[in-house]
Amino acid sequence: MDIKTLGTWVAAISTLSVYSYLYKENALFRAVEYILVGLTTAHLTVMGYQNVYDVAINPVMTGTKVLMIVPIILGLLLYTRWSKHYSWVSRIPVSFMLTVAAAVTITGNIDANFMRQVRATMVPIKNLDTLVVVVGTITTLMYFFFMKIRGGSRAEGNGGPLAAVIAGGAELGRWVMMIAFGATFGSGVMSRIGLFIGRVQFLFGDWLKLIK
Amino acid sequence: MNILKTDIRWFHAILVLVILVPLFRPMGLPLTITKPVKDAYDLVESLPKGSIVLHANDVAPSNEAENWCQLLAMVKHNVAKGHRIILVSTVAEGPMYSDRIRREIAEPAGYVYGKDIVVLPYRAGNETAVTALAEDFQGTYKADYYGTPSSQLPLMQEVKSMKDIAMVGCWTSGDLGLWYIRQVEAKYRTPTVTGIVAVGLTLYGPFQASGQLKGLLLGQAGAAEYETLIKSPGKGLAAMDAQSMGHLYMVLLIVVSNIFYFQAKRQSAAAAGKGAR
Amino acid sequence: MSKSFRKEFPMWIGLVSGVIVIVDYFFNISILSTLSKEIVQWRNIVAAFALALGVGNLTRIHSHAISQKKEYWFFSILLLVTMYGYLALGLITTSKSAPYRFFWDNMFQPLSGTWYSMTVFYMTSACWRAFRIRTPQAAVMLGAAVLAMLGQVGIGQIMWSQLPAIKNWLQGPFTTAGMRGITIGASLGMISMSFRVILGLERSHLGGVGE
Repeated sequence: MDIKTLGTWVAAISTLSVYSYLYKENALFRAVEYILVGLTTAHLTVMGYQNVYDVAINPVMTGTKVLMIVPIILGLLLYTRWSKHYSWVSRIPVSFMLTVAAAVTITGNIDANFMRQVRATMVPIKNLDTLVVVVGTITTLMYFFFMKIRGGSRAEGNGGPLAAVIAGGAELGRWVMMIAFGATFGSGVMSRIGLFIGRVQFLFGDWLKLIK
Repeated sequence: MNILKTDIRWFHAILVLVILVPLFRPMGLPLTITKPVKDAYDLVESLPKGSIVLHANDVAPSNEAENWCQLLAMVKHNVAKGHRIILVSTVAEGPMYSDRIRREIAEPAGYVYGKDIVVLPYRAGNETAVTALAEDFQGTYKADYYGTPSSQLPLMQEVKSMKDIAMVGCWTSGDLGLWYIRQVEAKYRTPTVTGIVAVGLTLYGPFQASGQLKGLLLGQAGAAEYETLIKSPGKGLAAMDAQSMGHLYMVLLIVVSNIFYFQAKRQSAAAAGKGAR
Repeated sequence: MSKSFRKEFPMWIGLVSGVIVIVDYFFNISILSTLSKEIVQWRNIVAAFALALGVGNLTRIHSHAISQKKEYWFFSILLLVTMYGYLALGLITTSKSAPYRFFWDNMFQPLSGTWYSMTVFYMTSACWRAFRIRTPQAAVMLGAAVLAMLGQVGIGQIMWSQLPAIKNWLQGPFTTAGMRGITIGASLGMISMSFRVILGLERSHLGGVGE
């Protein structure tokens, strides 16, 4: 048996071990579950180490970019979380990571997620499609932004024609979202079935060679 | 017998049969080409020979059935058009698939590694990794996935910034496309297409509609459509008949279960009414 | 060191780093730009270090399970042997080596792919047991779902030639409208939350590890 055939058999047994859960939980399923967790964690660590070595450790060792000692130290400080007395030190790299990620998110969001999306909504209404997009977007925003007015009572001064318009708009937004979620669910079904088809193609195609 | 309480394993077994039969006996069901996929195809068609294309390959085993077919189809198209390809990744599994593209598609087509195709290593950091490569591409990748210094790779020397990239392709089941829209497309206006798992329509639909994405491949159907356009059938197209039958089965389950549900509801209301009298 | 220093000092590190990156976006100052690029690179390196935290956590949890002979402790041994064995293989021979790729191609990839494919069976279960038309909104949602499901595959086109067009309409303007509103709202929320994190008004990430 050559190595490729051996590999295919190992893959097939792994696949069937997971599917054995569909009949009932068993020791084989549990074993591959634990193996998968071990392999995943190891793989992530190997790739992470290679990343750190290429970008930080190697430049420091060769002297091309000694400044990279700073993130190496910050990264090592992460592991102080396991120390009883110095676990607070791990807050430094955590805070650093989160705030830089937050800053990058802000700079990206303002234009791409907000301004250009708003601009794309402010279009002349020429046909049914653009009417749905403009009215649907505005009413969806009304649903989320005016919850207090929608929930208020006449006694609180939230009644009246304006509140009625907002409540009506928000309700329309809700229906638009229901249609959107339904359409999205249809896509979700394709995703799930697609994942299963992939495994079936492997079992009956690559392993048993019954389908092309 | 209350059919709604049937052992669910029977339905699982029927699902397996429903998926298997069309794989054994393809039915040749029709396939509609959608505009977002055609737009992606047209963009690749419009790029001249020698254009540098960046593929952000976040394919992993969890999305392989959808994203791998999409990426393969597009890379085959790039190779047919003579585009040069750079593969990057922000997931640990990505480079393993990029390596397969080099071995199985590019090199058999005569591509020279380092000149026509480069596989770059995994970079942690998610959106900040994308920011880093957009702002300082050569600084982010001092060596390729195999350890060869970038200075020895002619293709790497030609990319000084994202302005040197003719097109970005993002292949993911998550937010990768959004990161590239925010950090690359928004800042450098690099044409971007995304291949996403089918359920990603919610995330990416608005960006396709606003023109921030120049093309969008959704799930296995997107892969099948692209394979049809490039006239190179692959696993995406092979799966579509099984997808059809699987979808029909799910629809039948929903409809039939609701019929029985309403019937049971009416019966219990009638029984409650009789009991009250 | 005082309790307040242990919380304030990390917060200040974060504030300075975050402000540099944001200011660089709005102003074209050469030294800030260089500093901002370095900070972003550093962040990615620290994130790569974080990937190894999983090894430590799993080792701690499962060695405890083994020492206490908890339920399934034997599987904990299997996990640790697999993890450290594969880790050693990867660190010694690199991820490009044939033995590493063998286990990746024939164990990790099929196991991971199969795991995610199990969701189709949960979906089958949900379709039979959970999707009930109890309200008008649920009826509209399921109606849209059924039309989209049939319209996106060939069998739907054979049943009714207009189904693909209907599906495109549902997944086009309607999904764009619904999700764009959510995208705009979410982006405003993300921007305000990000500012709160940078300015130290949001400190949940600074608690929970030592005092």
